[in-house]
Amino acid sequence: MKQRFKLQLVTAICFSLAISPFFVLAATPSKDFTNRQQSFHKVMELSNAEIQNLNKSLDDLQLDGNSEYAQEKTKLSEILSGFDAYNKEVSEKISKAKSVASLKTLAVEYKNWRENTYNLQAQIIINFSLLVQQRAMLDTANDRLNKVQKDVEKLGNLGVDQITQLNLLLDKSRQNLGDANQSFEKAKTIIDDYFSATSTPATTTEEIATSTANASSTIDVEINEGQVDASQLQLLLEDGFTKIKSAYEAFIEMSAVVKKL
Amino acid sequence: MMENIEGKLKNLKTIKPGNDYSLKSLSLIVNSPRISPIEATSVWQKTLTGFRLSSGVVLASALVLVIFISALYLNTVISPLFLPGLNDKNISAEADQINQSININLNEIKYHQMSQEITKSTLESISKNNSIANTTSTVSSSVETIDQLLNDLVK
Repeated sequence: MKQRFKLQLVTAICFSLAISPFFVLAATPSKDFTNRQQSFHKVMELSNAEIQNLNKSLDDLQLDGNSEYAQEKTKLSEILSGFDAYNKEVSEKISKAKSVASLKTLAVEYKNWRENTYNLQAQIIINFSLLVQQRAMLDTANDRLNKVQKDVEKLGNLGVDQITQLNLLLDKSRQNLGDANQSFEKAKTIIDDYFSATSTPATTTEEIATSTANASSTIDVEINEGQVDASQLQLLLEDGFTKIKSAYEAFIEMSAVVKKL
Repeated sequence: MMENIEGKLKNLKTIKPGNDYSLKSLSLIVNSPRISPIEATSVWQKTLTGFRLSSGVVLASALVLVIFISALYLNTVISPLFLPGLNDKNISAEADQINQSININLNEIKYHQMSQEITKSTLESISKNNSIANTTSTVSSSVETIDQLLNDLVK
């Protein structure tokens, strides 16, 4: 009887020792969970940096209260505040997540939000910032073209030998600036159409921040009302910048020619 | 004694200059040159006149200088070789500023495209069913690349 009891005791001890690692393993998060959680946190870091950068782009725009687009700038800043609040909420959820499944669900939700809401809005903000800056650049470049034109006329009256070369370069810069102005006007029309379609009050910070799925659907509606081809808009603005650069290359060439006179 | 003195004093009342002396004195007074009050302060006047003269010279010199400078300026501006539009330094400075601004903007577009791609692929790997390897190092290096782009933006 004693021997039987001893055997039972030894078996119980051995069994408990054998299964204890499983309990320990079950209590600590799996490697897979930790990897997913860490990656998700990195994604959030990246996303926060994006929002900060977008905010800076808007802040850098010199638009006083009465100028065109001042109201739009304020609205876009409000939308960014909402995105920031939503990001904080998601970060908290990632930290509190207990299972791989909950992380997976959250990742799908966040990815959908970015694709349906955030990305388009971020592109609108980038393009809006580029448009405002391009307008200022075009003003400077057009002023320069007028001055250069007068100088070339003056040199033409003087009958300098290099006038043909100067006129060719002037035509080149005029053509480039004409193209840049055209691209700018097209981009401006797209942005203006978007803003007039979404002229209803912007989605509030609270609306975006308080819920995840609901918040994204609220902005979705707003964006769908003002469909915008962000990639076309970006191409037009990039084209405008390239043309302004080319115009200045021609101006510099002309300046070098005149220096040799 | 007192009567003598009173009598002498009474006699003094009747004393008159001789007719010759009166005429001579009158003509002397009438013919003498008159001194005006301004002439009394002749030292001040001299100083003032000197000052007026020197300030006049200074003003005239300044006027000549202004005319000379204006003539030089006008000559430069009207000159056929005055070409403000094609001024080498102005154009270069303006072009540098515009190029820098354009490069920053184009970098910003790249940064957002890259960041969106990384975020999308990482979120996809987090949400997929099979277990994932530690992607933080990959994401970190991408973040570093993006940080580099961000640094380029502010340069």
